[in-house]
Amino acid sequence: MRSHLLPEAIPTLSEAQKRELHETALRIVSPGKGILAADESVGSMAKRLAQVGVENTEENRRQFRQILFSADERVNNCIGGVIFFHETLYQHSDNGVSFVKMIRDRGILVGVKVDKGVVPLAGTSGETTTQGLDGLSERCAQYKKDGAVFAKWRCVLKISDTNPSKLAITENANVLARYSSICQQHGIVPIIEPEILPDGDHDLKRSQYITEKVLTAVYKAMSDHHVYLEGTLLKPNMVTGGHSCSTKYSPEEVAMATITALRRTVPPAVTGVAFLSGGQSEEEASIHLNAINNCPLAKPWVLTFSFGRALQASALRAWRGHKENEKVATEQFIKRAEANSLACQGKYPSGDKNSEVCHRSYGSCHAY
Amino acid sequence: APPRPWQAPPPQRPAGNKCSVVLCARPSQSVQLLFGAFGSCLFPLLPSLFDKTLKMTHQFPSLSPEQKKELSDIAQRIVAPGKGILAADESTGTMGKRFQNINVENIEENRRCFRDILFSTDASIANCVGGIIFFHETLYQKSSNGKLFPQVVKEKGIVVGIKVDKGTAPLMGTDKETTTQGLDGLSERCAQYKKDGCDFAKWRCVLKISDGCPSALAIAENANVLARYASICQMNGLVPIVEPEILPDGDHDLQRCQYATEKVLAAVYKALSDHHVYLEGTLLKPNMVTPGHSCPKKFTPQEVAMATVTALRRTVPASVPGICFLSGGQSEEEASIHLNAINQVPLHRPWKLTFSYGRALQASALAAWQGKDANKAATQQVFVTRAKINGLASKGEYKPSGSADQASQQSLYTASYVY
Repeated sequence: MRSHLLPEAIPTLSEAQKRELHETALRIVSPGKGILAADESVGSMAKRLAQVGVENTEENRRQFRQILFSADERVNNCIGGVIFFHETLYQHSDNGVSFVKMIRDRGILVGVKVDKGVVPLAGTSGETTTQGLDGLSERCAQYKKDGAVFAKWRCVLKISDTNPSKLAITENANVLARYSSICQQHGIVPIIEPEILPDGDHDLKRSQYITEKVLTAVYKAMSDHHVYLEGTLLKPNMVTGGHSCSTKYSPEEVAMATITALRRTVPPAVTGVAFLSGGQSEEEASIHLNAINNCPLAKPWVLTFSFGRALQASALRAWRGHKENEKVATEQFIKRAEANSLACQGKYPSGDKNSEVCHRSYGSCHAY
Repeated sequence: APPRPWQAPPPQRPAGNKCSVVLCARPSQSVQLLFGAFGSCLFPLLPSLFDKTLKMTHQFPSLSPEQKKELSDIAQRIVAPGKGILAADESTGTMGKRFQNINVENIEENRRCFRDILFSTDASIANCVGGIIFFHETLYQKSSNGKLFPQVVKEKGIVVGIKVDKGTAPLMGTDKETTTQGLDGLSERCAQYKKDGCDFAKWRCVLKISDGCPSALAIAENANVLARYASICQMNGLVPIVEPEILPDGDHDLQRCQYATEKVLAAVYKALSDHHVYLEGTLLKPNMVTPGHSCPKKFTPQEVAMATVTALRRTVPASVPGICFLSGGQSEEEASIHLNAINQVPLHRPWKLTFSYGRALQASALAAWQGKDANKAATQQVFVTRAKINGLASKGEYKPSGSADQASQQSLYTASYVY
């Protein structure tokens, strides 16, 4: 029998490795749970903190993450995983307890953002790829030792008259597949994030079309790189109209376009889809997620959240950098966590009329 | 600047465009109307603003909503619960081989006669057969009471399909690998077939497993030609059945077949996306994942089923309504047992998983017929029996009672099978 000698048949992961990855992915997206994306880079945190008049120091960043991580056991049923930024992985609470330990003791899984930001693609109209592959294998091994069991890598695409170009699509799909392959070698579940920005005046149909093309390329690259799909999660944009599109779409239209695009592109073997909020307000994001989970089309994957701003905006505004506001800020976060837990089960009643919550948190041409 | 792939064609008002077009003689006003406070980012795009709204809807629309609905409905009817496909599209040469086994002369009348027996089976056959694939010749033949075969079949509520490929052609520089020809004039042929009663089509590509096979070229070329075929069919109202068959010839094990199947299907669905094929209006006809025919190790139906469903879950989007397996040389009973096990796999299966069998539905019928009119009723009875069994298998409800008879157990494998 010569089949085992053929180069293509070289196994990538052992049965035990596959099982570990698959089970980790399942735990992150357990029923009613989603992901807190608390992995804003130093630069992104600068923008957040500036909005509430807080200086962007390491201490302030630590304090704000502490507000989130101090949430009580109510979040245990809402949050399956927290994505950390590198710096945060090695920070501690006021009591000297490591953030990683605080999260893990709750039964919540720890993840880490491993990309190193976007870089321009020459010869394109403002398009980018994402860097961070150098030494990624060693970094993953270290992160695994330090308590992380999943990772995140964000690629960015834009819609315009000329974009996304074929190069941007294939290059970003390829780098996402390389990152995924490396992560899996170290027992780390890769979250795959090919974000298509909502900037622009394109309509829902265009967004759906582009999303389908991008995701097809992503999964072809995953196949080419022998990535074990059951041990991955997808973090896509919802399919929405561009932010300056004159037509407004209902949550049901957004849900239908989103699910249709995913059904045409995401293999059923992918364990879960955790949407990014991409500039939607907290309430908008929850309502959309709820509509997505109530969409009548058959959905073979878990559909949940991986929200940053849409989980933290109210907490940030309640805090404003003042220690005496910490408990109230934490409550705001818990409230959104619970709302999204309901939304990812299709059980979220809309009607949070709090104007702060409806306030749009969109920022033009967002880069983390 | 040369147009980019995503750019719309020169502005022509498409019919039925629901976007209200605001064409203004003064560009600066358009900017303010459309973009308000965000206009500062967009002034460099000024020259293209006039036709911006025309570009805002789906780029280069291919099928109308009505066309999509028709295709989707046809596909759903073919793979309705408990139903599968009778592949009766054997070419003249292939029918010759069938007939040789029962000492029947391969003349047109005999081919007509055998198909007549199958198609004139009691109308209840439509409970387990959703579609029948015809060969070109058969589409224009008549039953013994003078009715054209498509009409006979449609009156039973069964959808009529047509094989449209023109056989394999060698790929130079490969180890005897092939692509499939038949694209020339395919659009006109499809339009005619639609008029003549067809609602779906079939096109078979062939790959094999060996040292170095399937090669990257074979995978890419066959995926591409399948996508071209599918695209042309849909433009003419025919649901394309996409058949990328990986032959069971060889001594490779189950894992190797699974690996090859995953690579082939990933390429197929990338090509279908690139060619803008409407997946909800297609069907897939793949091989089951099995070990090679001369593999010394044996695998249970459950192992075959698990490998098959795993491969499909990793590659076939949920929007594909149905997967209709080819039987590829398995005996009738083997093919039914495997299909049944596939429908019992404890993994989520978002598509219908059913049959599109040729030999595995007709072997016993041919054996019962022997070319003799007197055996017509017996022929139909064994045909109905196999059809019902496979209908149950497509729901995971087939319970084989004791041992099946010899004819159905006998392996139908022949080396390097060619239709």
